[in-house]
Amino acid sequence: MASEDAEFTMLFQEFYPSLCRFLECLLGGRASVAQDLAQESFLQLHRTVWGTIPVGEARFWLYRVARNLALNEFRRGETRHRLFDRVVEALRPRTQTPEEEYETQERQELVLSMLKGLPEDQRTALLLREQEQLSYREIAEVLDVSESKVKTDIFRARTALRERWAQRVRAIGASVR
Amino acid sequence: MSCNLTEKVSLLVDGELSPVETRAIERHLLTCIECQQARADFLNLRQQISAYTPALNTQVQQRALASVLAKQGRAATRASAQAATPEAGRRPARIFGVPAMPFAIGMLITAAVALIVTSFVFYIVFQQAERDRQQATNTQANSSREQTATVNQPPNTNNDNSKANTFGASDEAANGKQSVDQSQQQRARGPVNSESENRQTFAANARRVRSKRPASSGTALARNAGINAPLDLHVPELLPPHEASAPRYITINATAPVAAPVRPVDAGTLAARHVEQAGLLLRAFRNARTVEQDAAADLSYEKRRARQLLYQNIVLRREAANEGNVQLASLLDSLEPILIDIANLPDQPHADDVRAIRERIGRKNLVALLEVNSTALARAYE
Repeated sequence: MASEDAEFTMLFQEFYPSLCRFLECLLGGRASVAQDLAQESFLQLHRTVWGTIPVGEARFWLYRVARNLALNEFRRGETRHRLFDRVVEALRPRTQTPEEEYETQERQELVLSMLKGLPEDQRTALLLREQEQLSYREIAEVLDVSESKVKTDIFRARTALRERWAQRVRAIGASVR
Repeated sequence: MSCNLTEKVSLLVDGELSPVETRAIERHLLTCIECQQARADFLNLRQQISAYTPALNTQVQQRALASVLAKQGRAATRASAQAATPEAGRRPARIFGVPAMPFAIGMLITAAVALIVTSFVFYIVFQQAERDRQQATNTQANSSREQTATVNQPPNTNNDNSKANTFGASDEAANGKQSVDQSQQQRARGPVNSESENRQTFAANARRVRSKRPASSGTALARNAGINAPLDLHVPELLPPHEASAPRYITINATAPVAAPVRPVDAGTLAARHVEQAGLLLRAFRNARTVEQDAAADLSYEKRRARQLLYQNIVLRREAANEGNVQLASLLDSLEPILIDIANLPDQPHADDVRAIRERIGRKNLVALLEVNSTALARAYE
């Protein structure tokens, strides 16, 4: 049992930050909700299939569950207080100068806003590809869809984001002038 | 966008094209400005999205872990408490629709079953390895064209004292067929390593054959086990002259059997799992936030794990080197000093020491290498 806990702890340490990042991007930056959902995903893993599936499969299982929990959250609407998100944001580790931090935050806000404009399935597929480096086959397994749908979703997401990014750059350029 | 190959560019940046398609798209990229821009944009988006860092720190993460483990512990306690109450008989506790058993008993049973299954699997693996080793030796013995056999001859045989007998493809005879069948069974059982064993098996048959058939010439060597051929008594001298007077025994001079290696599947599975676990450890070590006062608490688990993986790494590295698996041996060789350093970190490691190890992990690109190899090994041995 101790070894199973140890293995679970290692899995948690490894994938909890990634899962939080995935959920934050999926939810449009609601960090506290993302952390709650990530925690819930691990809890469900520990309760149900932990010990019965290989560790590699556990990762895919986590993302599948996390995505489903995020979908439920979308349906529930924004029920969390924004203040709590600000508290969480205040606890974000500070490793940069204020200027660098501002720039990072701006960039992250931009990424979140652009991702928010994508349909949920395109956003999920793109995040799993770009952040978690899953293959198309693995993404199809996580999302329980075909590989060709994954291929199409990722391409459409990239195409849409290209356009928005270019528009944003043009807008910034225009405002500077 | 007018170029219709932009979607292929998207697949290219994800490595999802076949080698032929990849070459075709790369040739296209040399001339298509639009696709070049698309590739640059896709890679820029990747960089932006992957650079996103969540709002997380060590304390939050540790609290989350503690909360998960505590909740799971409470759930287990609740399940076992419900099972012990009188109401349990009326309405058994259910978890996800399944009747719950006391958590501790369930875990003990699971552990016992896992131990039995693991022991059985190891037993099967070793048995199979042994069979494979014997089969490999048989295959070499049967397919070699240099098998020779000698027959134990009594001292007063005139023509055959200095000759060795071989199994030749000549006329069939009932007794010869019987003796060859027996010799074939002997070969099927395994390589004939013991001279006394050969003697026991073939000597009596050889004498029977000699007494009934005229000797025939021939230099034919043993074919495979399927040939029904009598013993050929007149064979050229295959033994050195100085051995002419020595008693001759049935031997099959096959090439030396090569020790059958551990079945590639089993070694590969172990290696895949080890590489996966090592990758997880290095990523956890790399990502662990080391606030000065928390350095010890953050890394004690990683140190313990590194020690466990180190022994395994040494065994697997040696095995890979013996098998000529250069890629795996090289990977494990790169990994080993990192495991040693992590395992040998003091109880209160200095941040500089930790940073130095992380830098080495980064310079060697070990995490990515382990991830790629883990996936490749797992797919190869699925």
